[in-house]
Amino acid sequence: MLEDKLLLLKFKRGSPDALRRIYEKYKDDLLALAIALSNDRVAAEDVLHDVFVSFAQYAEKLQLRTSLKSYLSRCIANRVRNLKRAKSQQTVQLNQAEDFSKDCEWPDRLVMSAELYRRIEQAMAQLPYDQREVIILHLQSGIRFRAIAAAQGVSINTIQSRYRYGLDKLRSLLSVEVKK
Amino acid sequence: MKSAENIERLIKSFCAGKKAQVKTTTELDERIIADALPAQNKSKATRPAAEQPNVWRIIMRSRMTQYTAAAVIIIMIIIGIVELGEPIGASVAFAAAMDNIKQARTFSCTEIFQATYQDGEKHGKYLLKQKWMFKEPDKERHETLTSPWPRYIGETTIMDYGKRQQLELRPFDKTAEFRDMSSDYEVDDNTGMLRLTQLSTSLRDRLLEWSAGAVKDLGRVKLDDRTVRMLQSQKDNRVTTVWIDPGTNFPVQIELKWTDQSRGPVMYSSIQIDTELDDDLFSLEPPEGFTVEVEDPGWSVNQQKRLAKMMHLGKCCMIYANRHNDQYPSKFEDFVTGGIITDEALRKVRSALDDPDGPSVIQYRQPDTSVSDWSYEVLLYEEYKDRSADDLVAVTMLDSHAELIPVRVLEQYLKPWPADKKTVSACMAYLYGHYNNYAKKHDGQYPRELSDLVGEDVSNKAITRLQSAWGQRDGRQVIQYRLPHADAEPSTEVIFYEIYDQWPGDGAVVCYADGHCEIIPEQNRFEELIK
Repeated sequence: MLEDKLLLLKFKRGSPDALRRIYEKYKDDLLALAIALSNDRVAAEDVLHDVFVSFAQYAEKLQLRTSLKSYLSRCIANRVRNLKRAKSQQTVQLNQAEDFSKDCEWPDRLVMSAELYRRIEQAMAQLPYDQREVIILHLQSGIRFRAIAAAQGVSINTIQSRYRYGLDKLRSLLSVEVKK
Repeated sequence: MKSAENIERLIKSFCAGKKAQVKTTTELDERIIADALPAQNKSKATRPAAEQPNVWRIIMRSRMTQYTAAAVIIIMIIIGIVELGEPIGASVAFAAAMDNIKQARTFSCTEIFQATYQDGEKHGKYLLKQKWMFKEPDKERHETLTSPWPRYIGETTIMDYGKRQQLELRPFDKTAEFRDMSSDYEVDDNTGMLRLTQLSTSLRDRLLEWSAGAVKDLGRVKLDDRTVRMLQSQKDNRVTTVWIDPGTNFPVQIELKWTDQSRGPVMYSSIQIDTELDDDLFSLEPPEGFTVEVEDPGWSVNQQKRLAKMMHLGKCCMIYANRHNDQYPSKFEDFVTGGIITDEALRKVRSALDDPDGPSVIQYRQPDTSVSDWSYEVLLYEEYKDRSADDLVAVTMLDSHAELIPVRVLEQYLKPWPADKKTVSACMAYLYGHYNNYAKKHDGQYPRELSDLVGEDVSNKAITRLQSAWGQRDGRQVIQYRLPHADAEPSTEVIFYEIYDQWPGDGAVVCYADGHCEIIPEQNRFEELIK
């Protein structure tokens, strides 16, 4: 947190090293977020590009009320949202989604089969975008509900409802067992 | 059906798994950085230069006002360290101790002396206690133990010169301020050249020199339940008493007294040299529950270097005044004849950053020490004749703080006017800067009222403080804005004027639409101008 504050201070004072460091620190997480929201690696890379160029362009005027990570995550989410609106892309192209490695290590010792992974991915794809976005921002990027609500200009209750409805829907869509 | 908790856990694992698989490619990294860096540069280039000074000046002014009392104390601390007197000459008995100094790597002591302070209209005295600590090569800690203002008690500053970071802890409101020191510069006393700030061991070295200079053995005495040797020496009107640990030959307490009562005694107690100091004392992690803010000095590296030069010359002025019964030098050269700085070092400090062997760009002005507020009395300033009114110049004020101010404001401070009138005209000059920026941004249209100026560059609070001339009259509004007539001649059209209850004997200040300020001595003419 402190490191981010210092980085931001140097970045606002025009330090190219600070910009590079911020990019290095968050690039993978942000790209993963963009892919999760857009299900399109190529589009996600463009989103990451546009967000960072814009971030650099308005360095001097930047006034953050949330953490840097939260701010950048919201920028990614907003870009993806705008992109979707522009393309009127209502359906998710699962075939363009990030390839999944079957032998990856899952956190919390959760064993998940490739089949289960595909089913979750399909279930996620069926969620309304608002609900999917909140779930990904909260569970993948670790953004708090309050920060998501503030960034979207809606109440925290609305965000929590979207999250809850989204999880309820996922629960009804999934019928596999989880091995622990 | 899975439980809500299970499904949340499942999705979280799914997200984490997906996230772990994603990496940017080198090509993508290069493309983004290649486009982002020019965008960042463009952002810097498009910022209007004239906007920065006013905003920062006001922020700094606000902070300076808040810490006026502390600023006065800081001067005394500097004097305490630098200029309490030269050592008398080492005695053989402590030669061994002096040798040990070279091996010492840690130091701590409590400094106690009577400090004077100014709090608004009131002047007072109190016993200042502060704890100094350092750990070579790069860690330093300072803690205020007593203060007439509860908010300053326990205030602690930790500096890590290796990491180039500083943390200031304020237990009163559980806040902490984090500061980047990567552009903190100081002037080398011997060469006059700039260098990055570094840990100073001068307090310890000076204490040991005083200790070594004490020659009259007063025998063994008890101090805090232990037996120590007491020694004393006198030079001119200063008496130095030293309590020595016979085991280590290190001083444990030192007192400085002046026989002519010209100043109060200074005591250094609980002196510890080369004892273990826990790393936690120098930790840059704020304690739990503290709100951390990052301080932005708002100055470029070059500006910080210019300010470092101004601070150094300000310190020379203080040393000179301290040696000459509070009389400030009449000219720069007095520093050299007074042995405070060499001619060569002075020349280097006074030169421009980009021309260290070139002519001097810093001027000295003999200050008026009778003014009530030293933070507005100019002591040193950069040459400004060839600069525009919006350009920033570095100044050192009599209270020893240095800052960057627009040329038009410096011109007000340098006027041979009464101090209160200079403060009013300086505030008008700042307001004029905002007024002018507003007109530039709004196609030549002027603000209908001062609240129109409030926006990205200046806050309502800043405008209010300027209108009250930094709280000069108990915070009441002192400056009134007057919308100029469209076709008026700027050099005769008043846009700001001083408000008064009773016509001031020395006249009232006005600022015209071309930016110049004037004291109008006659009430009739003043009333005519502001109609």
